[in-house]
Amino acid sequence: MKLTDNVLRSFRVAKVFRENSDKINCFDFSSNGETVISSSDDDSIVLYDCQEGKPKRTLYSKKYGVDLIRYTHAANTVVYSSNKIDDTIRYLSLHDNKYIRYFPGHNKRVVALSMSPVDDTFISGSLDKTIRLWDLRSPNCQGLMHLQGKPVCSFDPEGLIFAAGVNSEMVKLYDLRSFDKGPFATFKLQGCAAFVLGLQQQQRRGSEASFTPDSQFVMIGSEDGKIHVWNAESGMKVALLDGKHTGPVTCLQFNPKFMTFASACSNMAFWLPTIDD
Amino acid sequence: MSRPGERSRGDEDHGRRQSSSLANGGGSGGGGGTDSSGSVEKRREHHWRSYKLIIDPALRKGSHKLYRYDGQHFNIPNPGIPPVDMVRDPRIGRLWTKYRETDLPVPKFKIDDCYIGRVPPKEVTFARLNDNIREGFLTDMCQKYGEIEEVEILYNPKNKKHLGIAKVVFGSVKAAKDAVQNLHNTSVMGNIIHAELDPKGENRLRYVQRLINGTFTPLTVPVGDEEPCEVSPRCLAEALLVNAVFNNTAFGFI
Repeated sequence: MKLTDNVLRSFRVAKVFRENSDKINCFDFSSNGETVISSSDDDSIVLYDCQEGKPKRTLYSKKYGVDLIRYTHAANTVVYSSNKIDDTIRYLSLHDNKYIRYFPGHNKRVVALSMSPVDDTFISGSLDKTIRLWDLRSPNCQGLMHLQGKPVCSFDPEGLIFAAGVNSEMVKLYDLRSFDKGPFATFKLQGCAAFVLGLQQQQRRGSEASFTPDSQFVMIGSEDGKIHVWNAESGMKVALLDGKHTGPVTCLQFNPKFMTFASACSNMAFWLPTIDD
Repeated sequence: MSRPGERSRGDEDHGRRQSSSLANGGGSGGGGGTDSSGSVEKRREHHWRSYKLIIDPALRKGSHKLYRYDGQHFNIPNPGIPPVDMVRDPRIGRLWTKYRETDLPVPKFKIDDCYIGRVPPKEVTFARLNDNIREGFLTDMCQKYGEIEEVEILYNPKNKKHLGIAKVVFGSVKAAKDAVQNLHNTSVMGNIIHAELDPKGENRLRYVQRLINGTFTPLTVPVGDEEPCEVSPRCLAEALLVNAVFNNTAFGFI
């Protein structure tokens, strides 16, 4: 099925899962689009099958809590930040529910986590006003940058550069090989251009943007549980979808490989187009 | 500027742990980190804002840690690597490509208690089938209308008798509609068969229950035109009355 305005407008919630007793704070699709993993303020990690649309497994991180969760390139390992005890990032094998490695360094809450699309590198941004670069294979911090405010950060689709947003005021672009020297480009932001750059707006928890896999549309969940869709190129509003969420949409992501997306509050909703093919 | 410095303590801890056996990671730049925390403010004074770990012994065995600070200084003199002279966009051919039309398959979610959406009508219920009809025959009969995902003939669980009822799930709504349009009220193996869209299989369930609890005796008997089996059409008529939505044509026949 082709992703068009009409198809997007026809999306409706197909399945709702009430696995969590508290807010789902983050989720991430595996790169093959077959599973999604979610983290919740109730300290659970729930894995869903996106093909049949059903919960597959639940793990707990009672001690440390679980905040931002990201798949690595192997479909059975994740990295996540914590919201209890410390701000160490943890690398977990889902297969045996064991930690593979810890990435200590941040000393305030981690508010952004982005996996390189091409290798084992990942970056994290924290309220301690630093961005750190890591490698899954090493506990040593591969890089550190001090910024002048609260950062958000994200890789580009090729994994060559990363972007850092500071205080929602500017976006800086860094070459992965020479980020310590400084950014090669800096943009001042006006209005809501921030999300168009694909940054996670995690400082203002309660709204999150996602591109569709073809980069044609941008989708944002809002405080009232509704989802707004724009054409990324023209800036035209395409659709307003009602997820019937019971609270603000905390996370929203389009499946990278299938015609479906997920949105979360304390419930997880899976959406399907209702247009007849 | 001094703020970030305070915050870097965690890193130094981290560095210290790593560097206890190796060359001191925080070394020339983060060297202050190995001092007591009293020098926190001081530490920011010194040379760097950012570092990059150029050589990580955890990734390259036998090496010492090599840090580069702000693209210029190293923790080891003469590391054999030139400092960064300029930064530029590493992406080549930065032409903004128009989006490609993306063709994504629609996943087929299981229909269960969590399913709250409208169920796409891809499921067809057949009734009054000849009891010699098996899955293979039904598949052959239906697949000319489109891809088929599931075929099931229903039997009485007590005596395993053919109930003349079947479920066929098509790959698309169009295929299901075509099949109903072309097969309903047609003669198949001597029976005028009944076909209807039945998205959640509710009608089918109703027919089956009536057959099983015996209110409407053997529908397994062929429902041929002049066969002596008034019971079964009546039973169906009854069932269809309840769900007359799709089946105005069925009444015409009965």
